[in-house]
Amino acid sequence: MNRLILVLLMLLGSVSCTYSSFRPKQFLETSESGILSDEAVETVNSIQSEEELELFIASGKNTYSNMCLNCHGPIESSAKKSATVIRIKYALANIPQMANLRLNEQQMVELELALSPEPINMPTPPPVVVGEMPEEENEGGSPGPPRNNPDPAPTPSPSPEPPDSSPQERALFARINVGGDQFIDDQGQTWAADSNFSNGRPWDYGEDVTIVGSPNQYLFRTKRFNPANEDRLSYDFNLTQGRYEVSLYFVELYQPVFRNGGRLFDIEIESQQVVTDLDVYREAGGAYRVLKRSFEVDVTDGQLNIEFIPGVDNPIVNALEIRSSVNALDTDNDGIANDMDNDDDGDGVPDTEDHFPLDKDRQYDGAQLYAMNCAGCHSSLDYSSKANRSASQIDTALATIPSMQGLSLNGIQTQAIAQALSASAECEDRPLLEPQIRRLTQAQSERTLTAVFGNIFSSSDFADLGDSYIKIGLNNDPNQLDINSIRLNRIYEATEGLVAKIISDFQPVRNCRNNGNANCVNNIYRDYGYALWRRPLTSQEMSQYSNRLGQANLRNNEDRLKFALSALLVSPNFWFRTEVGTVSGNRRRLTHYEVASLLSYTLWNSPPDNQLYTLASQSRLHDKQVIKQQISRMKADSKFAVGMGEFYVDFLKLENVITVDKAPRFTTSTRSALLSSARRSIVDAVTAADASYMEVFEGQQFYVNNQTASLFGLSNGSFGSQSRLTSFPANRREGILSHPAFLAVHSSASRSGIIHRGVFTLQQLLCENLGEPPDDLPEVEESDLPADFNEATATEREILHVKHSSQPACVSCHSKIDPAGYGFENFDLLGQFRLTEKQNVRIDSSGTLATGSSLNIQFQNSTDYIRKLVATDSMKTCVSSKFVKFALGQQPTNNSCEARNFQRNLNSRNNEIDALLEGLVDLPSFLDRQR
Amino acid sequence: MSKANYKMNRRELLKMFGMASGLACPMLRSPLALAQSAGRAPVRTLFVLLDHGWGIDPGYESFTGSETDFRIPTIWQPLNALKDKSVFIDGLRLAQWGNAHHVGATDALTASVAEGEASSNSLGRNRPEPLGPSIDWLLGQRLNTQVLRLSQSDNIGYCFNGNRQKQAAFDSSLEAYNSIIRPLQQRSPSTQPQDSSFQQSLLSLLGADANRLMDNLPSSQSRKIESYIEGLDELSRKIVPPAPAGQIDPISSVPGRGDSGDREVDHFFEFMKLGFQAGTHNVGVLTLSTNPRNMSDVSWVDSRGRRRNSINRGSDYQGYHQDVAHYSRSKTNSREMYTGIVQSRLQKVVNFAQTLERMRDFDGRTILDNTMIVLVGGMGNGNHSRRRATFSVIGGGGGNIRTGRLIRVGRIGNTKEGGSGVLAQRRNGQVVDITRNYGGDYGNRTASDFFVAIARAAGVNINRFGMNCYNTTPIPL
Repeated sequence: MNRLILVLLMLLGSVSCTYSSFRPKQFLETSESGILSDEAVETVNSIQSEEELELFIASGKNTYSNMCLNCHGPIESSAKKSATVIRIKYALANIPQMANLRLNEQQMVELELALSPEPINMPTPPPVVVGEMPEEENEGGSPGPPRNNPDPAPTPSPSPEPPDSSPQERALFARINVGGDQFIDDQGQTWAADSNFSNGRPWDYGEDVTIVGSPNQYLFRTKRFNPANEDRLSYDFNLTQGRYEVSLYFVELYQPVFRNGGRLFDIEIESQQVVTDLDVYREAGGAYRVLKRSFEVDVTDGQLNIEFIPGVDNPIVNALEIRSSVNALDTDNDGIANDMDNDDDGDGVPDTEDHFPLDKDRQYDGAQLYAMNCAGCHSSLDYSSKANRSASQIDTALATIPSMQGLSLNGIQTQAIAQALSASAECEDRPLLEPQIRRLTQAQSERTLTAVFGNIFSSSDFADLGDSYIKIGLNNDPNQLDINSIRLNRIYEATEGLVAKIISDFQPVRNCRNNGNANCVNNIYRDYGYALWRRPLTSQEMSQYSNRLGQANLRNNEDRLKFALSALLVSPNFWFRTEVGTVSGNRRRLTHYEVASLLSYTLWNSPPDNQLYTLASQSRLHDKQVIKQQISRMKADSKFAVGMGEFYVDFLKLENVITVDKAPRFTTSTRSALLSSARRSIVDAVTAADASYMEVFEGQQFYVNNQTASLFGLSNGSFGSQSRLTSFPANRREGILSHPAFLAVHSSASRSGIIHRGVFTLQQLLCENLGEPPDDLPEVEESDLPADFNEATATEREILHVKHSSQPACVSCHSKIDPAGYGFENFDLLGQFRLTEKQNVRIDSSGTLATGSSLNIQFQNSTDYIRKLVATDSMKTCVSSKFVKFALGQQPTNNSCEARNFQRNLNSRNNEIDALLEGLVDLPSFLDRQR
Repeated sequence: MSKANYKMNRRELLKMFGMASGLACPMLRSPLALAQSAGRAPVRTLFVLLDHGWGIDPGYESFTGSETDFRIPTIWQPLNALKDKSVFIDGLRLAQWGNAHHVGATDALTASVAEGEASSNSLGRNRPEPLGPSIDWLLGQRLNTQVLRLSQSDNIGYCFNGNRQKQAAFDSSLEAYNSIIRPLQQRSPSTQPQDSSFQQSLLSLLGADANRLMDNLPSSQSRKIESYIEGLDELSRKIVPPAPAGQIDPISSVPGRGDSGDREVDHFFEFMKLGFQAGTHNVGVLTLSTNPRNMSDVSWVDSRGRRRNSINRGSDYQGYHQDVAHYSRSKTNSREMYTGIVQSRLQKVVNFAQTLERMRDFDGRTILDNTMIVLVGGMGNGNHSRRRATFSVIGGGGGNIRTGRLIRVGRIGNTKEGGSGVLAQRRNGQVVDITRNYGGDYGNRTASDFFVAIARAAGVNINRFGMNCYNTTPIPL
C-alpha cells in the first residue's frame, strides 16, 4: 500500500470526524506496509490536529535545511526521499560525513515525515473543541492567523566543521590555516601554517571574537584579505592531473561590512569562475559564522590555481583544504570510478536507491553510538550508570536483556562504546574541598534563636541582615554572606532587644536574674553558649569571658546577664558555623560538632537537636552509617520539608516574587499567596514516598486560592482564602517551572522576559556558562529594520529577534539564550497561560534548544519544553550539583572523581532524594577537607 | 600597584581595634583637630558616582572651546553655576573589556581590574575582584581619616580595602544618621569619652572571640573574620565617637523611614557636610542611583521645565537601563529623561558645593576651597561607553586645583587593522592589545592618571594607582 492510498484513507476517514475524536491512528493501523517506521506511526498516532502535524513536518523540513541540504539538495528533489528513522539512525552512525550531526529521536521522526514522497494532506481543520479550560484559549480575543517569523537576517547555516580524516580513500593534498600558524583542530587534524599564497595580507582577530558553534576558534579567526589596490590574492598548488575537491572556509569578522552585500567577491579556480558575488555575511547567516564552499575541479596543467576577484570591499578567505574528489575514486575497487559507477560501495544496491552505504573501514565514534543507543536509559556518558562496562558485557546485555534486543550494534560498535565508557570513567583526582566558615543565613539565625529560647521573639526583633536576593546562584553562598560594619551594627542594636526579651520571658534566665548568686550567669553563658555556638565552650573561652565580665564592673545579675547574652549573640562563634575541622595527616577532618551542624542546617535549616549533640559528644559522627541513620531520622521530622524546600526556593529564586518589579495589580498579598502556594507544592514533592529530587518539576497539581486563581486562569469566585490542590490539563502546566511564582520572578516589569528566562534556564537550570554579556553595543537604527516590520503587531519574540538578537554583535549568544526563553512564551509576565499576546497576535513557543554540550531538544510549546528540559541529563546533573553546593557551600568540579561518582550513583538509583542525601554523605569532602 | 603594598596586617587591625575600644582614646582626635594643631586645614574629598554615568556623550554633545574659554554641554548645565570653581577632564579611558556594569562597578574607584579577570565568589556572578584598593580607602589610610560611604544603589559596593574586601556603605540615611551623625552631634569638642565599660569590655571580648576563631582558620577564610573585626572597629567609634574639632551645625531634619529618594540624597549630602565640618570624615563616597526602584519618587525637570516625579513606564518599558540609558542618544523621550535625571543629580551636587562655599574653614578659606567634589564613575554615558568618559572636580582642593579649566585628553584611533594598540594588563602581568575594530576613538589617558592626580591634590604623594599599564602621566589638575 503506498502512501497515496494511506492519505486517501485518512481523508475518507476524516469525513465524519470531529476534532475531539480525530485520531490518525485508525488509518495508520491499516497501513502497516513498512512505509512508515514504527516510531513515525507512534508519533502520528499521538497527533491531535492538522496543525500539530504541520508543525512536525515543518520542523522536519527545518532540520533538513540545517543538516542535510548541503549534501542532498533541496528537499523537494532530495535523493533521500522515503528515509525512515531506522535508516537515518544507521546513516548517522555509519557515514563519516554525518558523524558530527546530532539528531534526537523526535527530530528523526520529523525528518522522516518531512521526507515522505507524498504530502500528507490532513482533513480540513475541524471546529475548535471546548477544552477543560476554555477561558484561557481565547484570552484577550481570538487568535490571529499563524504568523511567519520575519527574519531580516539571512538564515543561519550550521557551522561546518573540518572534515573527517577517516576516509583513507581520499588523499589530502593541502589543509591550510589561512592567515595563521599551524593549528590542530578538535579532531586532531593538522592545519598547516599559511602557505602557497600570492599577495593579500594576513590578519588575526585575536580573542575578541567568538566563532559561533565552532570548537576551532583559532582556525577561523585568522584570515587573509586582499586590499583592492593591491595585486590579486591567489593560492597555487602543484598537483598531478586529476579531479579534486577544493573546500574554502569563510567567516565574516569585520564589523564595517556586517550587512548583506557589505563584501562581495568572485572566486576563480583553474580560470573558471566558480562563485560570483560571494556574500559571506548573507550566506553564512550573519557574522561570526563559518561558511564552507566546496568545488569539484579538474586539474590538467599540473597546477591548481585559486584566485579571489575583488568586488565590494576586499576578498577574504579563512581556511582551505584540497582533497581528491570522492567522485574520482573507486571505492569498491570494481575498476569503475565512483562518478561512473552506479553502485559506489558495491553492496548491490544501486546508488540511486542506496542511502546508507557502509564504510567497513570506519572508525566508530563510541561516544556517539552511546548517545544514540544507551544514554536514554543509562544517562549521559560522563555520568553513565554503566561506567567501565566491557564490550563483552555489552554484547551479553544485548543478547539477554529484552529491552536492548532491538538495538542493532555489531561487535566493532560495542567495542567502540566500551572504549568510550572506559575513557569517560577516567576522572580527575582533584583535591578535597576547602575548609570554610559559613555565616548563618537570616532564616538560620532566627531559627537557631527560636530553637534555643522558644517562640518568645517577634520577627521585628531580629536583626535585618540586609542580604540581597541574587538573581542567579544560591543565597546561602558562603562567599557572599559576610558581616561587615553595617551588618554588625544592626546585629549589635538588635541584640539589645533580644537580650531584654530573653531575660524577661525565658524562664531559666529570668530565674538567674532574680538569683543573687552570680554563678548562675556563668552557667548560663556556658550552657547556652553550647546551644548557640553549637559546641561546648573551651576553658580559654570561659576564662576570657570571666576576665572581661570583671572589667565591666557590673552591679547585678541583670547587667551580668545582659553582658553574657550579648557576648554570645554578637559573637562570631554564633554567626559563623565552621567546617574547618582538625588537621589529621594531609587533610582536615571536620569535628563531630561541625558534622552535626552541617547535617542539621542542610536538612532542617535549623540547629542540631539533642540527639545530634549526643552523638557528637560521643564522637560517633565520623561513622557514615551513623550519619545515614540520622538522615533517615531527620527526614521523618517535619523540619525536613522546610529545610529541603529551602533548597528549591533558593535554587529557583522564588523568594524574589515578593520584591520583583511588577504592575500594581500584583499586590503584596498576591505575591505572598503565590510564594506560599509554590512552597506547598515543593513540600509535597520532597516528602512523597521514594520521591525523586526532580519530582518538584513534574505534575499538574497546584495550590490555588482566591488570591492566585486568576493567575492560574481560574475564576477567583471558585476559591476561598484557603488554598486548594487543583489539577490542570497537561497542556497547560507542568511542575514548578510553570508555577506563576517562578514565571513572575523570571520576567521583566512589562514583558514575559525571553532573555531573563533564557539566561536563567541556561545558567541556573542547566549550569551552562554564558560568560560576560557585552557592553558598548551598536544601536539598531530604525532604517535597519525590515520595511514590513510593525512593532505594534509583532510578538515579543519577533521584536527581540529583529531589534536585538539578529544583530551581529548579539547573535552568537542569543542563538543560545533566546530558544531557552521561547519555551516559556505560553506564560506571560505574571505566569498566566496564553496563546496570544497584544490581544490577538498568536504566540510561537516552539523552538530548538541546543547547547554546546550534549543537550538538544526540540519543542512545540511550553509544557512540551518543560517536560523535555526536565528529562535531560543536563538538568538532572545540574540540580544535583546545585544541591551539593547548597549543602557544602562549594562543589567538586564536574570532572572530578567525587562529582562523577556522585552523579553515577544518583543515576543508578533513579535520582531519589534518599540517594541524593546519601550520595552527599559519601562524598569524600563531606567529612574531610583540604589541609 | 601590587596587592601586597596595601595589605593590612590583621594583627594591626586588631591592635587598632583594641586601641579604639580603649577608655582613653588619643587616636580618636579628629584629623581636623590634628590639622588644626599643625596650622593647616585638611583637604576633603568626596567622590560622587552615578550608576549609568554622568552622561557626557561624545557621540551626542561634547565640550567646545579652549582650556579656559569653553562651553559646557547641555546635560551638565547645572555646573555652569560653578564653572569657575571646577575643572573638567574630558575623554578619560576606562577599563575596556567585559560588561560595563560588572567591570565598571569594580573598576570605577580602583582602576585595577585585570583584563579578562574571572568573576569572583565574593562579589557574585560576573563581577571581577579588583587587584588593589579603591582610591577612597587609600586616602583614608594615608590621611588617617574615616571614610563616610553612602549609597543609594543597593549597596553595589564600589569601595575595597587593601585586601580587596568590599567596604560597606550605608544605603539608608536613617541608619547612617543613627550610626554616625547622631553620636557625632551628641559630642561637643570638650566632651571626654564617657565611661562605657560595659560596651568596651563586651567589644573586647568579641574581639578576643574573633581573634581566636581566626587563628584556627586557613588564610582563605580569614578575610571573613577580618571584615567582622572592621565592624567591631566601627562599633567602637560609634560607642566612643571622635570629638569634633569644632562646633557642627544642627541637622536640618532627622531622616525618617520611607523618606523619598530625593530626601535620601539630601540627607546624604548633609551628612557629608557635617562630616567635613567636624573633620571626622575627610573622605567620602556617595553613590547615586538611577535604579528604577529608587526612581518613583525622584524628581527631575523635563525640557519644558515641568517637574516630573518618575520616568514613563509605557507598555514596552524594560527598565531604566535599556529604555532610558541605552537609548539616550537615539530616542527623544529617552534623551529627555536621561538628561533630566542627570541634571537633577548635578543640581544636588551644585547645592552641596554652594553650601560648602558658604562655610568658613579655620584657615580663612571656604570649605569648598579646601574640598574636591569628584564626579566619577564606572562608565561614561548612557550608552555604557567607557572609551572616553568625562569627569569633573569641583572645589579648590586646598589650593591644589587650578579651576575654571577644561582639560582635553588626547585620543587613540579605533581601527584595529591599523594596529593602534590600546593596552590592558592581565593578572599575571601580561600586557595585551585590546583595540577593537569598531566604535569610536579611545582616550589616551586613563582613570589611573586621574586618581594619581586626585591623590596628590589631597596630599597623598603617589606615582601610580591601579593597574600598571594604565598609568601614563598624571592629569595636570
